[in-house]
Order: sequence, then C-alpha cells, then structure tokens
Amino acid sequence: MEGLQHYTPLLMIFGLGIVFAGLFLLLAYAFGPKNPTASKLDVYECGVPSMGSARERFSVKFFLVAMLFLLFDVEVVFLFPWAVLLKTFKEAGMGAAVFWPMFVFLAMLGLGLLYEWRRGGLDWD
Amino acid sequence: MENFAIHIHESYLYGLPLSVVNLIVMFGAAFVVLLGFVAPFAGLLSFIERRIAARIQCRIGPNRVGPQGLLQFLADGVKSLFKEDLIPKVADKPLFIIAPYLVFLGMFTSFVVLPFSSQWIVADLNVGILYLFATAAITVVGLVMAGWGSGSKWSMLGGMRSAAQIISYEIPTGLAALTAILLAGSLSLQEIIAAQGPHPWQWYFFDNPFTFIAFFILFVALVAEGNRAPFDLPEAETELVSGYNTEYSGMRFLFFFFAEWAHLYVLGAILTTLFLGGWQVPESLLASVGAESIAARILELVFFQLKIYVLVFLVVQLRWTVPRVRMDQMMDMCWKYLVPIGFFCVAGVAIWMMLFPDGVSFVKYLLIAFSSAMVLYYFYKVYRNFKDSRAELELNPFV
Amino acid sequence: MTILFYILAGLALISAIAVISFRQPVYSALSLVVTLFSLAGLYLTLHAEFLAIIQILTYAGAILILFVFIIMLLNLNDDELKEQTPALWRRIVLALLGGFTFAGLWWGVSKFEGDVKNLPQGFGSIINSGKLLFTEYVLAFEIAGILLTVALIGALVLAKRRLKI
Repeated sequence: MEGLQHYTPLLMIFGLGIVFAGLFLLLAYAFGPKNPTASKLDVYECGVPSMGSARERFSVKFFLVAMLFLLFDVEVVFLFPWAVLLKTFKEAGMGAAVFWPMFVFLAMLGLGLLYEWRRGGLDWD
Repeated sequence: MENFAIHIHESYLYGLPLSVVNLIVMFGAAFVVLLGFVAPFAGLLSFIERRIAARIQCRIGPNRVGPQGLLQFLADGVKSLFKEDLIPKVADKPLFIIAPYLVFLGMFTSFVVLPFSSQWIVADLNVGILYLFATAAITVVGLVMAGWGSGSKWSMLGGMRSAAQIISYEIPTGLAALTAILLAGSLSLQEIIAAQGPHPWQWYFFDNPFTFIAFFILFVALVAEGNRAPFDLPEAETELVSGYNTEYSGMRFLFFFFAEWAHLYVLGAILTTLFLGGWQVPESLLASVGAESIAARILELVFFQLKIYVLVFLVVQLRWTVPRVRMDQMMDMCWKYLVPIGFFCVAGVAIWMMLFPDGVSFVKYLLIAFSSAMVLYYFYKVYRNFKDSRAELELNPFV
Repeated sequence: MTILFYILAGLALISAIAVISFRQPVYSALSLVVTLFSLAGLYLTLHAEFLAIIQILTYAGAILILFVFIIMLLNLNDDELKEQTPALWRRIVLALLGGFTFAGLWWGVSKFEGDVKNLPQGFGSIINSGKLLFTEYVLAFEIAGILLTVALIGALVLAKRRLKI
C-alpha cells in the first residue's frame, strides 16, 4: 500500500466537494422562491418564443479537432516518461539511449503535423 | 502530514488505531483546504478582478460591502442563494443538474496537489502535474454536458466551442510543461520546485531560451484553457449571450463562475511552480525566522501567493486590454503557432541538456536582463497611458 | 484493499452495462466516464499510478470528447434510436465472439505466473514504466509513433474527403 496513501486525500476531497456543492444547492432550494412560469422555463432566444431544437447536427470541424487532439495527446503522454527519464539517464552517462528514440518519434510526428498543415487540416474554415 | 498524524495519535487520540487517526487528519486537512483556501481565494479573486476592471474602465468598482468592498463576494454568494433555480422545459434534466457539479469538482480537486509551502500540500502525488491536466478533462466533460443539457442554441454553441478550445490548448500546455519536467526530472510538483532555487537565476524561467519561450506558451495556453478573455469565445457576450451557462440561474450559475476564478488561481500556481521557483525563499531570510518554524512556512506561503497574484493581475489586465480573437484565429494560434513552437522548445531543452548539463550562466543573465528591460518598458507604457488619459482616479486604489 | 477492489469492480461493471443499455447515446458516453474512472481506481490499487492517471487523461479527456462530438455530428433522432432486434445470425456471431474473448482472457489470466504480493519498490511508477519503454520495448514505441502518424493522415483524409484535396 506504500505510495498509495497519498491518494486518500483525493478521494476525500472528491467526497467533500460533492457534499459542499450539494449543501449549497440544498440551501438554495430551501431559500429560493419557486414560482416557475411558462416563459421562465423557456430557453432564452433573444426574447422571442424559441423555435425548433437546439440539438442540430454539428460541423465536422469539431470532429477533426477532437481527432487531432486525441493523437497529439497520446504523443504527449509518451513524452512524459521520456522527460522524467532523460535527466537520470544523462547523469548515468546513457543519455543517448533515451534521446535518439524520442528524436525519431518526434521527427515522425513532426512530419505528420507538417502534412496536416500543408493539406489544410489545421484550417478552421 | 504523516508526522502530524503520528503526533496527534500519540498526544490526543492514542485510544484509536493509527490508520483511523490518519484518516481523520487527512479529512481535516482536506476540509481546511476546502473552506480555508478555495472559497476565499475564488471569492477574493472575483473582488480583485472587478476592482481592477473598474479602474481600467475609469469606474470605481465594488466598494460598499465591508472594508473597500472586500466582502462583496460574500454578499453575491448569499444573494444567489435566494434566487430561483430554473430548469428549462426542454433541458435534459439529469445532465443539466450534474454539469455544474462536474465543472466545480474539476476545479476544486485541483487544489489538492498545489504546493503552498515546502510542507503544506494535501497530496504530493508522484504524477502531480499530470493530475492537474486530468482535472481539466473533468471540467471539459462538465461544460459539454451543460451545453448539450440546456437545450438552448446559445448554450449548445458555447459548450461545443469551449470543448474544442480547451482540448486544443491542452496540447501546448502539456508541451510547455514538459520543458520544466525535463529539467527537473520529475512530475511531482514539490520536486520540481525543490530543483529550482529562490533566486531568479535559479528559476527555470531563465534557465535557457527554450524554457523562456515555453513560459509564454504555457501562459497563453492556460489563459485560453480557462476560457478567459481574449479567448472567451465560449461565453462571448456579443455573439453567444453567455455561452454554456446561458440557462443557468442561482447557485448553479455561481458554480461556473467559482470554477472560472479558481482556474485563475490554479493558472498562477502552475506557472509559479513550473517556472518561477514556487515557494522558494532565500536561505538567509529563512534562517532569520528559523527554518523549521511555522513562520518560515508562512513566509513561503507569502512568496508563493505574491508570485501568483502578480500573474493573476497580468491576466486580468490582459482581459481588459486586448480585444477578443475570432474562432479561426484562436484555432490557428493553437495548432499553427503554439504546438509547433512547443515541440521546438521541448526538443531544444533536451538538446540543451545534452550539451550543457550544468546550464550556461551567461545566457541566464542575458535572459534576466532582457526580461527586466521588458518589465521596465511595461511600467513606462502604463505610466505614459495614465498621463495621457489624465486619469487621477486610477492612481489611488482606495477611492 | 479487497473491499476497494469489489467496490471499484462493481462500479465498473454496473456503468459498463449502463453504457450498452441507455437509449440516448450521450448517457452511454457519460456512463463510460464512470467505467473509465473506476478502472483508473483499479489500476491505482495495482500500484500502476502512471497508467491510472494516463487512463483519465486520454480516455476520460480525449476519447470521451471525441465520442461526444461524434454523437453530435450524427445526431440521431428518436426514430433512429428505436429498439431494433438484430437478426438471429448476428446475435449468434456476436455471442460467439464475446465467448471467445472471455475464454481468451480466462486463459491469459490462468497462465499468469507472477509474484503479485511482493512488488519491487516503485513498481508502476513513471520511472520504471519509462525505463521499460525506452530499453526493452523501444521498437514497439517507434511502431506506435508510425501508427500515430498514419492515424493523423487517415483522420485528415476521412474528414476532408468531401472537399477534394
């Protein structure tokens, strides 16, 4: 279990956060007025009665951004252990063993980014 | 904290098993962080922001409730308790209710790993900085839920925009943070601070040109992640009413703003920790109050806070100085500038470490001189603008 | 410790069932978050803290947002979400596939011969995971890099196909 006791406060703060927020919502429920009317419960649409549903189909641009983010996120995740290790390996005189694999990795993804850029994948319009 | 638990166990609660005492102490620590730190920080930041904003716009700002209007945030909090909690008819009720919780939790739990002083930290995780990024992920889920759950067109657009914006800017955030991690060789926030020193030439900010650039990348990316002006597209008043929180009222509405101000603080804390030496206090000063005393811890806390508030001031000033960017400009800035420059910085720091393991003091002093000149120029510009606008009001903070 | 396992495993199972039972895809996606968080908790109890935090960062952060965007991209209306009974042959094939997966897992777990009780110091920390990644599995790591690049190009080609670039 050693090393894991650091995570107990996390669990607690999650619990406390929920309790804290719940308490305030309860207070608000207890003190707040409750007289809803039809126009209060309507969504805001510049003052006129709302038309249609808000859940329309969305642009594919958002999908592309999420895809890009996912790929680069995975890449950055690979970079984290490398960043932690480089110093220790360097001090042990084995810096090159960690440095070159990442260099190749970065070069590959850099090319991928360049391709994406040239083909307009990074353009929002 | 474990020593503290053992101490409590031996002195007061020897009847209970140690593990139970440990739990009680942790619970207490979490509670203190919750009520003692987070709520006043977020509240005070809201006051500071409104006051600065007012001064920049030649107004007075909140000054009625409490001394200098300091208690305005409490009044606002109590006021929102007495507001009606409306849920739109077309809203997806469960999602609408859970969303503010998630946003609140995401911000709130990030305070657990912030190092307030060399010993005041609730949980010094081995993966501290990654944890901070992971909590941002919870917030995004909350924002998307709020946007989708409200059933309003404005909320929907705001939620989608903010999700796209936050996830995009998480990449430069990670890359810029990597430069500090490379130099420190650890993900633990306490170890990253310990690897730096109290003096500016020991900070990672001035370590080499690449970390210098990375600091600014991180600054911009964190401002954008917090949906703050000039990147406040998800809640752009002129086009989206109020974005994802359009349909919220009362306490739930407050949660979104609480999260926004808490993020402002976390932003300062991340930058201070990674690049500005965190709570480090010069040793001579530390020795004068006793290195192990409570006073030393408070001194460290003060240093940490000062650095954070300087950064917070900059962010607030930025909000009232720079006009809002367009959506395509914002995405371009992230993917075409910050991400490539971020990669360049990471590679640069790695090469720098391979070439100069002990750092180059000449470069450090050059960078310090450069940024001192920048700060002087900044003050000169502010002074000139004050003169030009003949605004005597702003110069006195206690009107 | 064991109690923690049962709580987390139970939570993971319940939310996983919720993922496939909700009619509304947004709810399924959100149940998936709960599953992923409980899995992260399970990793923590196995001393794999790096893996746990990565799980939250990439799955709960990136993949979930991708799912939500896809759901909104397709935006199926209520008619399309109506209950449909799949054809018999489909059900048989899927049951067989599920059975095979389960059997494979069972076989893999039963073959495992490791000392779980006495883990070395710092097992599952970022340093140890990283060391393995950059020494023993460096080839796999580079292949992952190629895979990511291919995915990068593939995503672009798929998303921009209509624009004829």
